Formats: sequence, structure tokens, C-alpha cells
Amino acid sequence: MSAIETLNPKAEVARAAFALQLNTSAARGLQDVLSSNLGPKGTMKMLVSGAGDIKITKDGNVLLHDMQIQHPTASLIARAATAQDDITGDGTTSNVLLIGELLKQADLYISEGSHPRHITDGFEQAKAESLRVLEEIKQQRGSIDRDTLISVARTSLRTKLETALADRLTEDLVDAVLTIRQEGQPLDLFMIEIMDMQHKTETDTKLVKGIVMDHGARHPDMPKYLENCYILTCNVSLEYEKTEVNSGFFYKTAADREKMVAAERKFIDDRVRKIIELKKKVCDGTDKQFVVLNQKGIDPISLTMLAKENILALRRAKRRNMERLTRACGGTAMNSVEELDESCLGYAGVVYEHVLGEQKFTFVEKVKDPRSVTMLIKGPNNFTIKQIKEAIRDGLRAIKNAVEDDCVVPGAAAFELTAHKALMTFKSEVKGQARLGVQAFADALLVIPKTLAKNAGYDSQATLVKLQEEAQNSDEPIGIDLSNGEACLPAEEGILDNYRVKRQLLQSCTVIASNLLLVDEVMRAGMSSLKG
Amino acid sequence: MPAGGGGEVITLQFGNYANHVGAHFWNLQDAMIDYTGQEPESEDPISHDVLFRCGETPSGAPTYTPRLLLYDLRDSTSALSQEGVLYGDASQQAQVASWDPERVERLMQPLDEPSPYHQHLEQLQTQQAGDRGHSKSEFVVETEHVRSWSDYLRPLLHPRTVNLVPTHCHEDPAVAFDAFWLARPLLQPTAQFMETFEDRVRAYMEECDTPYGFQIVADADTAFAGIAAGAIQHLRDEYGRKGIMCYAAHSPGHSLGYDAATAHPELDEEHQAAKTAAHAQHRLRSAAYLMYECMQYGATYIPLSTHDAWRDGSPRAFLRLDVDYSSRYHTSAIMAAAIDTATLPYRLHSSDVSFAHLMSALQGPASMAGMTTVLPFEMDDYYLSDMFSRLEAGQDLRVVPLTPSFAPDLTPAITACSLRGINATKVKPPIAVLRQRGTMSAYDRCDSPNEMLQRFLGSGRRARQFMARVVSHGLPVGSPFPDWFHHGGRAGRSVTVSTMASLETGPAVHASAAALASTFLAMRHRPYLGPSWEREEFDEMRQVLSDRLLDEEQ
Repeated sequence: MSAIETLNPKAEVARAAFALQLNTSAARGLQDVLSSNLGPKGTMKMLVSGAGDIKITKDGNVLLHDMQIQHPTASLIARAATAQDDITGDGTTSNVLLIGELLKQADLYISEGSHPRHITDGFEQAKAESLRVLEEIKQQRGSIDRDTLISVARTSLRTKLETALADRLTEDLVDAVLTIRQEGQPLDLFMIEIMDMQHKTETDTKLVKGIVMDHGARHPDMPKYLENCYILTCNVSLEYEKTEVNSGFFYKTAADREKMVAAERKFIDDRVRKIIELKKKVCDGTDKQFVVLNQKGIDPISLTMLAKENILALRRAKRRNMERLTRACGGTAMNSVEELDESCLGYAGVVYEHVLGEQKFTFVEKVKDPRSVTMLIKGPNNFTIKQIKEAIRDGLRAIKNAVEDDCVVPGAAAFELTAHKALMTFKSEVKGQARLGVQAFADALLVIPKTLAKNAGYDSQATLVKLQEEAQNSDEPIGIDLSNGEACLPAEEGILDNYRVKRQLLQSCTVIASNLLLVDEVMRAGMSSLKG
Repeated sequence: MPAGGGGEVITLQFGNYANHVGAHFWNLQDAMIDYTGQEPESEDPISHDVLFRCGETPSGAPTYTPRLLLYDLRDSTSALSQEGVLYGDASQQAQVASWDPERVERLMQPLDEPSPYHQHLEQLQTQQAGDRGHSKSEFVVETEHVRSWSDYLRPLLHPRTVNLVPTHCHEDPAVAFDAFWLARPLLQPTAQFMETFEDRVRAYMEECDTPYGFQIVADADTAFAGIAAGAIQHLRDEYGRKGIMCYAAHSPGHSLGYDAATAHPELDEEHQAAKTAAHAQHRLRSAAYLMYECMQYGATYIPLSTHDAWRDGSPRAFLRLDVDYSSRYHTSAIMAAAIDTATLPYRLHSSDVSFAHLMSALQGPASMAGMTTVLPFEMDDYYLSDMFSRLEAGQDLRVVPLTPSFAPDLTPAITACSLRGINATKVKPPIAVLRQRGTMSAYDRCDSPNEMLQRFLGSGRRARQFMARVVSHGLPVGSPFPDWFHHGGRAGRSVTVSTMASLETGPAVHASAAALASTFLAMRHRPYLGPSWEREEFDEMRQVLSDRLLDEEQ
């Protein structure tokens, strides 16, 4: 009788073999759900809620977030997988598949009497060997060039979107990253604004070398299209606010109150006049125009004053756009109107408004030296836009990873096949039962090429055998060509994965799988259910 | 610039019970809007633009929707679509078809049936060719059929309104969303949740010409209090001096609701009792935490409960209502009616009181206001002047406090009181009747309802400062409002009733806040102090609460 039963007789206890089976079946269950989504030929999943809301995705991370996972083991794996996504931005599905497969392979040996400890020892050694292989096949290109990045981006995007759309976006994403990249400074993806418009079709999604904002002028007389513009970014309230001083219950007289209001109003008007003064100074006598982008509010009276001077003014600009705006247009964001001069102004070749129903968009384009850009997503409906947005986020992460790793790994399951080959040789050096663990680990890695082949409609065993034969006779890493089910050289085909994704995958899967294998007792005391 | 009506208020609702209150509140607003355009605008004293926004669908149809963001757990909206039907487009299904259908796996959750109320509305709509605004429907919402607040919510919502917390769900009682720190991971500045919140509030703010501020309705006793607190911090940070009124709604689950026996059937009774106690403590922690954060960030905290104490109270007596005190649908309606009436001052065309006025007036040392209501302010065969005399006597007609541990017999410092639904012919008895009676009360001598109300506030309860508003329009209580009014023998259901509600500050409110603070401080918190609730934060909270609320007791 275990200790918990003495303490709490109602606690349910699952022991040894049963405990392991419990964990294995949960991991397998999760694996089954996600396996059809792996790779460029994987299916999409359409989630329809009880109220009819639609979500379409094939991103493992999104699916794991949206599926209600209540089984404790499954949710442990799900959490490890989403952690993988948080750290590297990719590899969630692979993570789930690999953990499931590691448990399945280990189960074969454990059910025949091996102690889980031996297996996990083997896992550890196999992991170390695989990491060595990873170091060996990673391709260092000194400085990563544009073509390499395009390959990385394409590989990532194709696993998340339709091929045609993915290919359209590939170059845009790479150019976005290259535009904002500054030598000697860490790459800040924050400088790429992702904006969406529910409009036209997804193939109209594009890179805008400038900033697109989801709001427009709030005054009918303001210009809708301006060329050759000075840009003033500021964080100054141009809105009359009732302060606490004048908001008491009673005034001595109505005149008192009027006076108070007038004084407050003048204070705001003076700020607007300062801006107009600057506009006149820099624009009068030239063909230059003037645009004000304010993080704070601008009330109708101030708007009217600005509109009379043909100034385009936007209020309540997003806080996180303020830095992007100055990076894109130049100039400085001003917190007061006291020290305004030409040096704090930015420049844009064209600023114009686009109206969609109740929504307005303002494009700030043709800037001189953009250090911040916008990915403008278009799509006919919200779930398409969301799907593209997620894919773009992941694509950008993949490019960033490649830049920061300064190396890439051949994709299309080339790493898994190479590691498998190496582990088979390595196995003979391992002493004792740990060798079984190495074997299990090696076999588990093959889940990736097998699933890729299966999702593309090929016989997974036949394809695998073909690939392994090919790999035996080749020094180069061999991958799977999903268009014909044959072997290919992924590095030449331009199928490249992130180094850090693979590394993280090996690390976290081994740890989680080992931990689950070493569980020999599962107690239900306080958790809702063990049945998954 | 007009000081009164015209400025915009943004409403935020956090939590399931808060959304119940909100659903009733918006139903009331919706019922007051004249969608037909027949009634001249001047006749409607209420400026709906304060709370509603005008919009346009992609196909160009005009919309009028609440300026609202609401938050709930993901399994709480039953048949309500998250994006709403108003802006939905028919191209959705067509678009799905353009993907290779063989490559799309469909995972369908069982479709939720529309609620009986919505089925009824739909039926009416087909009958009357789409006149939603003025269907005199006699539909009674059955309390036991209400799955969620969305089952009786009438107005259609803007696509950005409904937001769901992805990490928890109501259906899983083992992981209750009760302690306020459970909201912490959502509130990280980098979290998707927070980013969406910031974007959506900002989108509303950008539309407003003269934004007054925010009215928040939050669950006081779930982790949504934590989300509300995080929201208040952000609003203060981003929008400076804008007013924030935070109604903290205590669900009737005070002593009911959470059932350890269902959540943990595997535990024995002793452990279940311990779970229940821990859950009750988490509720109090959340309530105290929200009060503390409101104090820190200068938001007016207005706790609402139909029970009379912070924990284990008994129900407040509403003598003229058949209230089921365990029903969320019923109790939340009382709160919604009170909020509607009490906030009239800044929602009237004629008013010179802005949101900011009301806010700063209610800004006491505890930054808290108490709510009282008279629901219904039933005139029977009396005149208004008689009613005030009866209220002063306080026998069958009473001012009921909606704030826990709040006994409004102490002199309030400031009262803002509104009375709605006064028939002009029933203000005071005609001379003939007065002659017959032979006596005249002080109220009989007043000229107008407003004067009577001022007199009542000023002399009867001797508030130092007060603000009185009287509106002739009553509170619309047709379905889906609960049908619980005693009809006094009259047949059929009344369309509107009179109500009175007030917000006040003063020693009684202070005592209520002190009661919460001392209950909180007397609890054991040690086991919960850890990474999500840091000791330093707790120490500071303890310090502030005892300094500001309990000094005279020490």
C-alpha cells in the first residue's frame, strides 16, 4: 500500500506498468491528433465553436492552445510543446510527435522487461550523439545571405500556408527583416508592424516599406492624400479635459465657471497654435505638407484649427507605433510643444488614407531610410487573416533564428535521417541495456520522415527504406522530396530549417520523455480525472 | 463646449457575473433607444451616444452598438458568436471552399442551440419583418433555462466586443479561476491577451471626440478582479486623468455557487470543507485586491452585492420583488437597474454634470462609493411628496444598500441621487386633496420633483453636498428583464417602473471598506505568498489598507 493511500484512502493509485501505459497512451493520443498537420503537405484543421466561430490553422501551437486538454500527462506535453514555440517560434508539432514516439518505442522494450532507467540512460547518450551530428551537419555560411534566408522563410511558411501564398510572402518577409536589420545591433522584430485589413484576398498581402496605421483623420476637411510631407510625431494632449479643479459640484457663479473653462481651453489652443506656427515656418513658400501623428487625443476644436491649415492630424496613435514611426520616418517623438523645430520632424514621400466601411487606414510611405516596416495582411475574413498572421509571425521568427544562429540545418527530415544513421553506428559503442535506449531513440527520430511521407500520400515504410538506402551511399544529408516521394538533397533544394529549433527539440523531448518513463506511480488526489 | 451629454464613456466588463450585470444593463439601454426615429430626439432625455457608438458594416449598413469590451472564460458565451453576426459576411463559407477540401479537417463542437429568448426574438422578427426595436413581447425568461448571460442579451455587439480568456473554462471546476493572481500571466506586457486589450481599448478611444472615461463592471470575487486591476493600471498609465468607475459585482455564490463536492468528488468531507473555505478566502482576497488597486490608481471602487456582508451575509430585503437570491439572472438585474439609474447624471442631454464631475465628487479617501437603491420606487396611489415622507419613515418603502457591510444611516459626505419615472400628474396632491387631509408635509410645499429630492437628501439625511436628478422616463422592465414585480392586483406586466438610486461617500462607506480590509488582514495568506503574489507586494498592500482604512481603530 502506498503512502498516499494511508493518508487518503480515497486517492486512486496507478502503479508501475499501468502508470507507464497511462502516460504513453496520453502522449500517443496527442500525437495522433497533430500528426496529420506536420509538414507542407499536412492538412489544415478547421475548428468550429459551438457558436459557429471558425478558426483555421495547421500550426501545432495554435491547435494545442485551442484544444481543451484536460489529461494531466497530455497537458504536460502540450506545455512543453508550447514552451518550445515560445523559445524558438516553431517545432511544436514535431515536439509532440517526437515525445509520443519516444514513449512508444521505449514501451516496446519496457514491456519486455527492461527497466525504464536503462532506456532513459540510452536516451541521454543518444541525445548527446544527435547533438554532435547536429553540429556536424549545420551549415555555417559565415554571414547568412539573402538566398539562404529566403530558403529558411519558404520552408517555414510552406508548413503553415498554401504553397502559392507561402511563396508570395517569402521574399517580402526576408526583405522586411533585411530592411530593419542594423549592423552590430540585435535584430528587433518589434520594428515590423503586422497590420491587417479585411479586404480583397489573401494574395494581396504585402510588405509596405513604411508604416500603416489603423486609424485616420477625424475631421471631414482634412486632406486625404498628401505628398512630400513633414511628419511630426508627438505625445501631447490636444484635448480639453475637465480637470479636478473645475469639476467640483458648485461654482460661485456661472461666469466663474465660464472663465475657468475658457482658461483651460486657451491652454490647449496655445499648443495647437505652436504646431501651426512650426508648420508655417517649414512649409510656407515650399510645396511641403505637414502631418501630425499624436499619441494623445485631439478634440474637434483642435482638429478644426489644424484642418484649416491643411494639416493632416491623427490622434491616439498606438503607443508601440511611436518608436516605429520615428524609425521609419526619422525625427524625434516630442513630449511637449515648447521646443519644436525642424530638426524634430521626420519625412515621408506620401501619406494617404484608405477607407473600408467604418475603418480607416493611413499609409505613410516612400520614407527615406526605413528602419521600420509593415507587413500588411489582407484577407476576405477574420480567420484567414489570423492564419496568415500566425504564419508570418513564425516565418519572421525563423528568419531571425537563422540570422542569430548564423547557421542553418538541412530540412526535409535530413537531420533525423542522418542522426538515425549515426546512432546506428554509435549503438555498438554503447554498453549494456542502455543500447536499447539508443535504438529506441534512433527509431523514434524516424517518426518525422515517416509522417512527412504519409501526409504527402506516400507509403511511409517504402519511402523510408528508399531514403535510408540512399543515405547509406551518400555523404551528404539526404531528405525527402515530397513532390515525388524520392530522396533529395535538401540543401540544394533550398529546404532549410533552424538550428536552434532542432537543438531545443532534442533537449526538451528527451527530458520530457525520460521523466514520463520514470514515473512508476500516478496518484489521483485532487486532480479531476485520469481517463484521457 | 457642452459640459453635459456628448462625451463618451467606454464600458469594460470582466467576468461572468459582471457580464450578467452588463447583459441586463445593455438590455435596458437597448429598450430605451428609439430605433424607429419616430419620436423626436428632444423628447428623449437620455443621450445614448455616451455609451453607444455609430458604425458601418463592410456592406455599408449603419450600426449602433455598445462601446463595450467584455471578458469571460471561453465556455461561457453559449450560442453567442465571438465576432457577432452584425459584421459577419456571407463570403465565409465560400472562402473555406476555395481551399482544397481534402486538406481541411473539420473539428466541430456540437452547435449550441439559440436560447429560448433568442428563438422567440427570431420568431417575432420573421413576423414583423425586422422591427427589432419595438416588439411588445411578453416573453418570460425562465431562470433555470439561462445557461449564460448571452442567453438573454438583446443588443447586437461589435466584433471587437467579446473577448475570451483562453486558459480557463467554467466547466472544469477542478481548476477554478478564483484567486486574483491567476490573471497574472495574461497581464504580462508581452502577452497576446494584453496586446489585444490595449489595441481594442485604443480603437474605441480613437473614435471618441471628448472621451470622459471608463466604467468598469468586474467580478469582485474571481480572478477577473485581477484582470480588472491590470486593466485599471493600464488605463491610468495610458490615458492619464480620465475617470475610471469600477463596479465590483459580488456574485450570489458568496455562500452558494462553488461546490467542492462536485469539483472534488474523490475527497472526503473534511477535505471538501477545506476546499470550500479556501475558495471563499480566494474570493475575499480578490475583492480586497481590487479595492486596493482602485485606491492605488485613483479609480472609484463601487462594490455591489445583494447580500449584506463581505462574507456569509444574508440577502438584502427587496419587499416588493420576488427575487431568487441564488440566481445570477435575478440578482444581476437589481445591480443593472441601480447602475443605470445612478449613472443618469452624465447620460442626460440637459445635464451639466460630466462623468469627471461625478467621479471627482465621489473621490473619497478610500476612493470608494456606496450604492443604494429603491427598486421599484412604487407610487401605488400615492403622490411623490407622500412617497418622500414614507421613505423618511422607512417602513414599507426603504432605501436598500447594494454595498456589503454598508449601513447608510451615517451622514454621507456626498450623495449623487437620481430618480426616474415620475409621472408629472402625480407629483403632489391637488389642493382639494390637501384641504381634505388638513395637513401639509414639507414636501407638499415643494414646487418640483427635483426640489423634493433635494429636500429629501438635504434635510432628511443631511448630506453635506448632494446632487439630484429627476427624469420623467421610467426604467423599461419588459422582457428579458425578470418578471418579478408585484402587480398589486393589476393584470399584465408593467412596461416601465420608477426607480431611485444613489452613489454616496462618507463615514458609512468608509466603514464598509474598513470591514473588508480588516477581514482581509485577519486572514492567513502565508501559504499563497510566492512567485505570483510576492511578499513585498502583500506587505505594501497590508500597509496601505491599514493606514488608509483602519487608522482610527488602532
